[in-house]
Amino acid sequence: MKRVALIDANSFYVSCETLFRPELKGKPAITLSNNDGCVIARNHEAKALGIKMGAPYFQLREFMQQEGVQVFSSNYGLYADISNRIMQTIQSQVSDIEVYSIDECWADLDGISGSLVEFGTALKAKVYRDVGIPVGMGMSTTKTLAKLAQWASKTWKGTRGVVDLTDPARQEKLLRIAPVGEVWGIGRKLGAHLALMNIETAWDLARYDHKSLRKLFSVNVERTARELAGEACFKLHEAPDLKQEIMKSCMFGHRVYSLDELRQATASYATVAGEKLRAQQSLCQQISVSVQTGQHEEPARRYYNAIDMKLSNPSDDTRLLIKAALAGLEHIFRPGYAYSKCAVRLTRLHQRGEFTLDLFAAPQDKGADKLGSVMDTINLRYGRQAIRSARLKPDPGWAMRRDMLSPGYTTRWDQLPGCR
Amino acid sequence: MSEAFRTPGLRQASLTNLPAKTKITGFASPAADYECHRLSLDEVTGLGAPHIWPWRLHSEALAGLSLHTNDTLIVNRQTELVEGRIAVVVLDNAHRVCLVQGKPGAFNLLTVDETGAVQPLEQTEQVEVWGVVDFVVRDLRAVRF
Repeated sequence: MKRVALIDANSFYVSCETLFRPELKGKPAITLSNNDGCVIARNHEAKALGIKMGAPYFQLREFMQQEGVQVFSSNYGLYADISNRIMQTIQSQVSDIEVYSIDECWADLDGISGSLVEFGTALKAKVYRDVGIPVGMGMSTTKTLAKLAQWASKTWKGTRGVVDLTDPARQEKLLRIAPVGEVWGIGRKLGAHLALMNIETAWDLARYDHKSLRKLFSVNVERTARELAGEACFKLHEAPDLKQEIMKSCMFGHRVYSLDELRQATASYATVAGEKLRAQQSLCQQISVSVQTGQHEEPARRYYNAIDMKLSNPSDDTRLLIKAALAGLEHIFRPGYAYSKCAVRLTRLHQRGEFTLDLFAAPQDKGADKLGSVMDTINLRYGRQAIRSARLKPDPGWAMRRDMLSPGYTTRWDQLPGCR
Repeated sequence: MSEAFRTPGLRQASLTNLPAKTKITGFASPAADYECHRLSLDEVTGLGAPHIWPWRLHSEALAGLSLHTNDTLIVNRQTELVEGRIAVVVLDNAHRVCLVQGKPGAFNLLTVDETGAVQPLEQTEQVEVWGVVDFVVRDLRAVRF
């Protein structure tokens, strides 16, 4: 019988922030999204104050000051490093893992003998000891059941964050009380839809006619129901398809008025998108650029426009992507607006050798292939943007605002945690 | 004697970044079968492993043990704390470095100043061990003895 675990870190972003700040133990702390927009992580104490996920920071600023809530901007460099440490530690204890998100992974429990709860408790202790981050886990015979077990581990404190849901009798007991909206892949919206059909618990879904579910919803809902019934349908490493489009967009740290600053942002986003394109070894034949003002501007001051720029032959050459994106930007830029965001989207992606060349245009030359790979290698070796298009500034004014950014404790030699 | 398992291990990343072997067009090198990896401080300290964390020392609390301000401490969260080791501990909501004496469960946490005088760390609450210092890295380029 196959057994898998779903392991996730508790309040991951906030746990990373408090790892080097012992004075915050027992105090409310939250992390904000890009540009310090909304609450995206809360510790237990912040939840107890009623701070909701997704709440806009500007609405809560005063309340948080009164309550002494510690607020952090997103420190993605730190989170990525701590996440890698957690994954490495888990990987050293099991036969295989599949990283599901920055704070979650699936683990293959093949070869683990004895009590799973004991194993899980020991693994949880090891991750805490090595990395200092608390994790919880659910274990069962399918991914969907393991995810539900992990939900149970968070919901009932008595489980101490480890739930073994391999026993069919225990599975039935939990499925009968778990709301269908808590099932992995169902969510609130679909859950409400299912409730209209009297499918209110995970048990109801597992017992519903599977083929009807496929007809009424999708093959994935059918597979979810089968997984709840104990039939493994989602295997580890079921690789998602290659991305059909690559998008890079981000709100600016402050409003941008000049074409020159928009050019820098567009070139920067095209560069990042180009790196992602080469990482999946694709080429793109179309690059779309869009600009927009803030949503809360008065109607007369609102502006959005986008343009698709076609390349005669598919390419992954950053220089060509920047050139095309900037040409597009010239078309859609209108002076006088306060721009809040621009986006670059690469579409019509092809794999090498899977397209027909334009007879009348020169294909991407081999030198460009080599240049892209050399640039990527240098940036991997010496750090992001070690080598870059001259168009890009290393520290542009429009970059993401992160006023409450913590140090790069584990990623910068000049910002290491200190002791006295 | 085998060289295997004598250090915490080479980082996988450094192994994958090895330069491609130079092609020999004439006589095969008689040393080819004896080539070793280049020495790496990662290999010695274990830096890159999930439980190894570099810290910066901001005090002269252990000057008597030749640990000084701005030293980089390589802290291991897996190492068992025993008498005579140096630890980073959480004490009164601050990270402190100290020498550990005594037995597990009844450790004494000490500072050793530049004259060699030993002082106990004042503590008002339970101490949490953050990690044990395995190595010290010091930049001597700006130091004049």
